[in-house]
Amino acid sequence: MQLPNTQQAKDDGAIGRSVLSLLICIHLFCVAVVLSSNFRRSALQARLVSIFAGYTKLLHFDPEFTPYYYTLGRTSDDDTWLTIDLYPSADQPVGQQQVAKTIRLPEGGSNWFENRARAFQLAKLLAFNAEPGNENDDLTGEIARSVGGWAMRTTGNHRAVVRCVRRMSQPYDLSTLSAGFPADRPRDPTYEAMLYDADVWTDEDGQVQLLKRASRAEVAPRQSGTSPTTAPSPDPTSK
Amino acid sequence: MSKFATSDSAELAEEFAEEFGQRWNRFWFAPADPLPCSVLRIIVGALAACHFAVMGPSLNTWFARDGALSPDAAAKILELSGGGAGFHLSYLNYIPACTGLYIVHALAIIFALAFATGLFTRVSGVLTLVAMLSYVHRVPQIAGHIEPVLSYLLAYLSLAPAGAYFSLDQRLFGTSKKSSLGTFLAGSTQPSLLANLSLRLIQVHVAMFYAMMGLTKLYGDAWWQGSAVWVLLAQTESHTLDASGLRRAGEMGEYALNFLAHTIVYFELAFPVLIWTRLARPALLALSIVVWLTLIVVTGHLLFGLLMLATGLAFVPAQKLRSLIGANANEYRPAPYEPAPAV
Repeated sequence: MQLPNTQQAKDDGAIGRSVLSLLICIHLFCVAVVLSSNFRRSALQARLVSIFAGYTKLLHFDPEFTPYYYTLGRTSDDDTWLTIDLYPSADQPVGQQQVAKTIRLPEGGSNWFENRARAFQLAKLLAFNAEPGNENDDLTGEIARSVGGWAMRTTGNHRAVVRCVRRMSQPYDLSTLSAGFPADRPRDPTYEAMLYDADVWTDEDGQVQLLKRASRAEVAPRQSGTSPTTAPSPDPTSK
Repeated sequence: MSKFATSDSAELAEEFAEEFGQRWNRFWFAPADPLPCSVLRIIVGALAACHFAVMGPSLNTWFARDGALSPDAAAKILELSGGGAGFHLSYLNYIPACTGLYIVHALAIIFALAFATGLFTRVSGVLTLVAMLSYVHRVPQIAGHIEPVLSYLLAYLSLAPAGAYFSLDQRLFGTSKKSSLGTFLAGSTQPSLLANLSLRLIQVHVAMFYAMMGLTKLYGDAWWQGSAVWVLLAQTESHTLDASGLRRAGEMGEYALNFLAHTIVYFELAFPVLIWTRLARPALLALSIVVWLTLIVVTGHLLFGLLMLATGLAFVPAQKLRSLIGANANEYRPAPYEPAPAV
């Protein structure tokens, strides 16, 4: 026969376990939803992620769109960076002045740590939103304005040209390389494509202004069967 | 006849519910040895400190209020990309590029080191988590691969009695039950529900994380066709080593790269399923060393790779861990699990 206080303790334990079980289920459901929404979201997933955001985003259980696939072999996964040419005068066009300094993001550092990866990530965000299919001038403009403004502030210049550049990678089999792409120089400018180009300057009120310049132009470095070598070819990893 | 069938079905359902409840309780609520939590605490704290330390050179560029992406710009970009700017709280939004920023940054490193050494373990764990989240929320657009893993490990280990072993708390406050402060900060060396809960949450979260990593790779032809490892090595700016010499190996080199890519994907897909089986677990944990060392070299995500390797320790039984690290195997006696009523 059990003593009444022992029975009471067991009942309390069962209630505690029930409450904990419920909390565990809710927590794991939130985590499962945000993790399964890491790449391409359905409308339902997007809605659920926004409902759980107060919990999952605040504690960063939601990796959002962090590319845990590292690469999918698309051109957009190739290295992308930002360069900022700085000019002293805001009043004169860049053609009439010398470049005072050029900043590159990332600049220096080691690829074994995240610092360089952060700069690549920001450049890829800009590049993605500068692509013809996904063009979002507000977003690309906000990045270019902020980065350009920071570069001007830190160097004491008043005009800048912010560029986003991507360098295409070489295939393993160099015989599939398109004509015009030097096999022995994977860093040759031929491999580079400018995806975004904007003038940024400080106006008389001290506000940072931006004017987008160019659209992208890109040439694939790999041959694709019978297609012309200078035409965009299917991705090397596509079927 | 149907009356008997209904009665049998009800009995079967009841048995199943009872069995499921017992298993559920055993999985989540059986007291566990806090040693694995303590070992994980040291590694996670040390890697968090390294993570903060390597941010140092680019602190002003990315994390100062007047950095490359101002808090307003970061919030606007979040809104424009449909992510929503809410729930991104960071004390770094208020600190410009100055000595103060470096002081705050040094404090973050100190919190992480305190957690690693087990000084005021639960408090330093929570402070390390807050510091880490502040960096993430300051500029979410450039958050890396390691932060989501660090955040859940820090959260779960702050819950656990992670300072029970190998900690300064243990030296300062002892393990006496009389020291309630010591028990609160470090936890007791006795098997506990919190130790089990924390370990189980880590295990389940890690398994789900592997599933996510494996499944997202299936979206890309590069992983299906085995060229992903080469594509990563062929990057001229972000690569960790120049792998162009591999071409001299011709087809054999390409086959080896294909094999590595396939191994990574199969491993990540198999992990969340097979890690729960006793037979496959040792093989998967051994394979994880090969896979993560490869990924570290190929992607350059050194700290992330080491952290993912360390998460494998959550699946090593406490007794095995004791013998591996040379701790006294007789010190721990698993508490008999008393079956509880199903929830």
